[in-house]
Amino acid sequence: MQNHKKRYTGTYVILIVCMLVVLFALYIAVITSFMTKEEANYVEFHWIPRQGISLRAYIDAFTKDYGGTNVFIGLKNTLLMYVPAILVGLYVSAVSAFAYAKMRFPGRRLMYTLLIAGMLIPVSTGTIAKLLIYDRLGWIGTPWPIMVPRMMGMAGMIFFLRQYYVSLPSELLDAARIDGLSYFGTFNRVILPISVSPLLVQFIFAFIAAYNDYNDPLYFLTSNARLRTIQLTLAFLVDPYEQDWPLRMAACIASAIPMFLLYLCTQKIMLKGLDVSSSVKG
Amino acid sequence: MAVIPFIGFLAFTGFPMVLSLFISFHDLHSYDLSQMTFVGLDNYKNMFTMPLFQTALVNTLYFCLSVPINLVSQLFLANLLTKPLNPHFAKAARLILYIPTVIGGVAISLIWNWILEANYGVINTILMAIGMEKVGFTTTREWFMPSVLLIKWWSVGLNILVFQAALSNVNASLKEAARIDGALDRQVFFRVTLPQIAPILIYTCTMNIIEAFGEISTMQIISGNGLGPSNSAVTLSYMMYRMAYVNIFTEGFGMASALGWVIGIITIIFVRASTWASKKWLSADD
Repeated sequence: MQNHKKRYTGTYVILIVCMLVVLFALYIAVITSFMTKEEANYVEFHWIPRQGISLRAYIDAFTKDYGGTNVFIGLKNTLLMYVPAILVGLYVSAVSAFAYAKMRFPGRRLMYTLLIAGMLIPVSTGTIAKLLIYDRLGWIGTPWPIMVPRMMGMAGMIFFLRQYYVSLPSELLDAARIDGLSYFGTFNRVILPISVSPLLVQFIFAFIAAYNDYNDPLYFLTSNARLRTIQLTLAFLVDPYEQDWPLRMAACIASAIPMFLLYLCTQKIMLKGLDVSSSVKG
Repeated sequence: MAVIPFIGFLAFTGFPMVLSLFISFHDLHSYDLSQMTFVGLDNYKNMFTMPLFQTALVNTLYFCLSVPINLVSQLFLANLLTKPLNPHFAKAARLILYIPTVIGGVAISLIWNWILEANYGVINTILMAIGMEKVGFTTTREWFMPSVLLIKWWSVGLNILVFQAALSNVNASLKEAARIDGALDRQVFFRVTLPQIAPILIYTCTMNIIEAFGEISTMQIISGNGLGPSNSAVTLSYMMYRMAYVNIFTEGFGMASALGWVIGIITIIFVRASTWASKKWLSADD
């Protein structure tokens, strides 16, 4: 018993140290974001602002123009481009995952294998060709290079959702079929409602990935400042001639708001849904 | 409907991949494909002999150390969180460790760029206060990559939740049975728990390797100009970006495509090796 207790003390200590490291960086970012520019550039770092709390950095981050964009425009671009694309892609992926799991049609196995193998192909092999293709299509500097590929379904989603659909009892489908439902009827009325939680988890993962997506916008959107995503906005906020750290920190904190809200709203469902998606048996 | 993702795959992965391979054997300095001239393997030969290529290769491999470092710490922390801790504490720990995921890649790099800043940064203020010399974390070659690895380590968040869910799914009776047979905690973890979560582990590892080889943002933000002290921020992926955007007239799309394929092949070698090694290691424990 003694031994038992001692071991958990170690667990607590390690976790607390890690939490402190996270909170330390967060504290620095938050406190700097409320400082005046002069104070942040003072030779010594002030742990508590001495010139009072200033909201200037936040106001600037949301309203000023930084080469055609700011945090507000960046967030708006990210949300408007990625969220609809992911929602469409999620539906397409779910229908396909269900088909790959429960339907029989020619080429099913080959298509699925190629799709999943495609996940293992590093993007870099195709980037340059994509750049040239999108340019030919007139897509550079438009939302399409970001949206269209995602709207056609995502291999990772199909992989995880298929794992889930395979485990569904076939009796459920038979019952739906006897009731006279078509393929889409079965999917929309029977399968979709029961798979809300894995779908939501896939949405969250896709959104986190989209939110952090850097290379795609860098290659295909940089030329159009008005369409810069939040990540590009943050990256281009770095003005080497003006060391405005409060502005950068305010932009960083502000850019996290949508993700933080998403986490608060979905925390419970996500932890529950993770059980489903983590029980992958390769 | 199930055909749509497959068409998407052909259009946005399969076809560009083949086209890139084709372009990589040509000289191309404009967006117009008709301007291509065939040069055989010259792009590959010229690239391999560029001094920057070797620097970039070393930097990329150095950066990829973040994958094993992060996987081990994430798994370790996730395992700690499955212990019977005070529920309020466990909840707070999960929330706080998740914060970096919420903040996102570029913002994390910016925040740490400030903390590690050479003149006014917090760490250097502390170092001065305790009578040590200032360190150019992001401005010297020796410190650049270690700083980047620290930043990547800080951004662990999401995988902890994934691993924790996987770990708590492991059949408790299996662990109990092993314990009754006299297995120590460590043996239970390595021989019972780990093989059970091997699929999710291998999947995460694979995706992280692919991401690490493709990553541009962290190094670009930390260095400010993308190159860093003595080119220590230049990874293969960033080099490819520069070939296509900055040095389009000297290097161009042909060489960039060639580099894209080289990155791809190196990535796949590492993915295959890690999958093979983890499978072998896990089955050897049976």
